[in-house]
Amino acid sequence: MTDMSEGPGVALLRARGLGIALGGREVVTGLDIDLRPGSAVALVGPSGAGKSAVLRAMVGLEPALRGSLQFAGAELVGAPARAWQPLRRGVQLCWQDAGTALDPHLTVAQLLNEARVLMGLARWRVGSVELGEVLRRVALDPALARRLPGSLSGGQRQRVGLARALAAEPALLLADELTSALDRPVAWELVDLLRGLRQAGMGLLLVTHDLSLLPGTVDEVIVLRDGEVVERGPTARVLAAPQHPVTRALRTAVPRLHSP
Amino acid sequence: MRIEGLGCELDGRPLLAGLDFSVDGVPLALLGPSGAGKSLALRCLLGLAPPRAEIHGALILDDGQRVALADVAALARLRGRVLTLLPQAAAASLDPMRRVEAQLRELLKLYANAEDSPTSLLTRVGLDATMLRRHPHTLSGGQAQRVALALALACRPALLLADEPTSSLDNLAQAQLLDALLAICQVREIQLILVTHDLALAGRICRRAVILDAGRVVESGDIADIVAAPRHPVTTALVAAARRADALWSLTAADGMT
Repeated sequence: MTDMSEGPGVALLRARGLGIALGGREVVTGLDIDLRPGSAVALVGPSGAGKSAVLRAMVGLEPALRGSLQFAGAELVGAPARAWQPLRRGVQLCWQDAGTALDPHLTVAQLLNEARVLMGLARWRVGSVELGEVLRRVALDPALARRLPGSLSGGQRQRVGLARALAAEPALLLADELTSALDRPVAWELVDLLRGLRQAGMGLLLVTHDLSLLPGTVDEVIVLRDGEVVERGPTARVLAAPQHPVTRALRTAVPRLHSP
Repeated sequence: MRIEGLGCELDGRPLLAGLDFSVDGVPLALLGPSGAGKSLALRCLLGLAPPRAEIHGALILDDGQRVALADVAALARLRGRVLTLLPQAAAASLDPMRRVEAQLRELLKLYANAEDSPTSLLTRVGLDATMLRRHPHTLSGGQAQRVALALALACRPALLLADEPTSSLDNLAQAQLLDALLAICQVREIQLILVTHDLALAGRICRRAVILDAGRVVESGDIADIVAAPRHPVTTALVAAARRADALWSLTAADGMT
C-alpha cells in the first residue's frame, strides 16, 4: 500500500509539519495531511487530542501556525490575510455545534442563501428544486425551509448546518463530529450522504472519535493523541490491525451489537 | 418497581400514552428516535413534567405503595431519595460557583446519607480525591459526567434514571462511564433505566429494552430477542443502524483502500 501523501492527484489542501500554538504552547505538532478532490481522510482521537484545533487551523482560525499549509499550491503560513481568500471560497467547515452557530433570526432558506451569496452563487428560491434537494440530502423535510432555527430540534439544526456548508458548493468539506449528536439511523444517512458527495468529487476531512463510521467512507485514517500523530495509514490497515494502544482503545470502545 | 399507564397530554395533544413497564433488578433501556418521548417519560416519573401537562398513570414502588403520577407533591417527596436523575449534560447541571466537594456535601446532608463521604463517592465513580477542590468549569466532559453520577449516588436512590448520560462523551469516556454505572448499580442494588437512541450502547449494559415511538411503546422485551426479530419499523431501523457498525469488525487488513 502506498503512502497516501505520495499518491496520485494534486492535493488541494496540503499540510507539512503543521504546528499549532495556543498560548505559547504547541497543541498540535508535525502534522502532514493531503486533501484531494474525491478523496476522504479521517482525523480520529480521544477528546483533547487537538482534532478540532486542526480543523480551525485549516480555515485560518488559529493565528499561530508553524510549518506549511498550502491551498492550491499557495503557502498560507505567514501569508497576509488576503492569501486565505481562495481557501475560503473552496473549503467549508461544518462545526460540531453547527446548530448553535446558526443566526436565530434567519429562516433555513435564508441561512443557506446567505452562504451562497457569500460565495457569489445565485440564490435559491423557497420551493425551488435545488433548495428542496439539498434539504432532502441531509435528511430534512423541504417544508422546513421557512422555519427559524429556534423551532427545530438539535439534530435538525445540526443538519441545517451541513446543508448550509453544502449550499456553498465547496471543493473540500471539513466536518467536526458531524454525527455524534444524532440518532444512529440519521447518523448513517449522513454518512451515506458524505460517501455520495465524495464520489461526486468533493474532498472530505472527517473529525470523529467513532471508528465505526469510517470503513467505506474514508481512504486514510490519522490517529491523533495529545497533538501528535501516533498512527496513520489506509483505513482497512489501521482499523483491522491497529498498532497503537490509542487506536486499539478507540476500536474497543465502539458499542457493538451482540448478535444472538 | 413498576410504571402503569403513563400518559401525558399537553393542550389536548397526547405526547405519551399507555406506557407500561417494570424495572425488576436488571437494567432497562428506554430506546427510541429523537422526539419519541423518552426524556419526557423520565420527567413525568420525577414529577417534572411541564406544568400545564395532564399526567395519567401510576408508579408502584417495591413496597407496593402506589403513587399517582399526577400527584406532583408525592413525586417531589420521592425525587432524590427514591428516584434520581443522571442528566444528559452533567456539566450544565453542576453549580458553576461551588467546588465539587461542597456540592457532594450538600446532598449527603440533604439526604441524611452518613454512609458515604465526598471522597468515597468520587472513588466509587473512578475519580481521585484531588477533584474535590475543583470547580465544574475545570472538569472534562467525562469527569463532569462522573461527578454527576457521584451526586446521584449521594441521594442513595432506589431507581436511577440516566438520560443519555454519555451522549456528549467520546467513545472512550462513554465506555468507561457505562462500565462504572453498571458496576455501581450492581454493587449498590440500584435499579437503572437508561435512556438512549443507540441499541448497541443499550446492549452494553442492559438486558431488556422498551422501544418508544411517538409517545407509545411499540416493542419491549429482551434485547437479544429484539435484535434477532424486530417487529416494528422503528425497531428495525435501530437494529439496522447498530448492525452497520459491524463493518468495523469484519474488516481485514487485506481489504481495499475503503
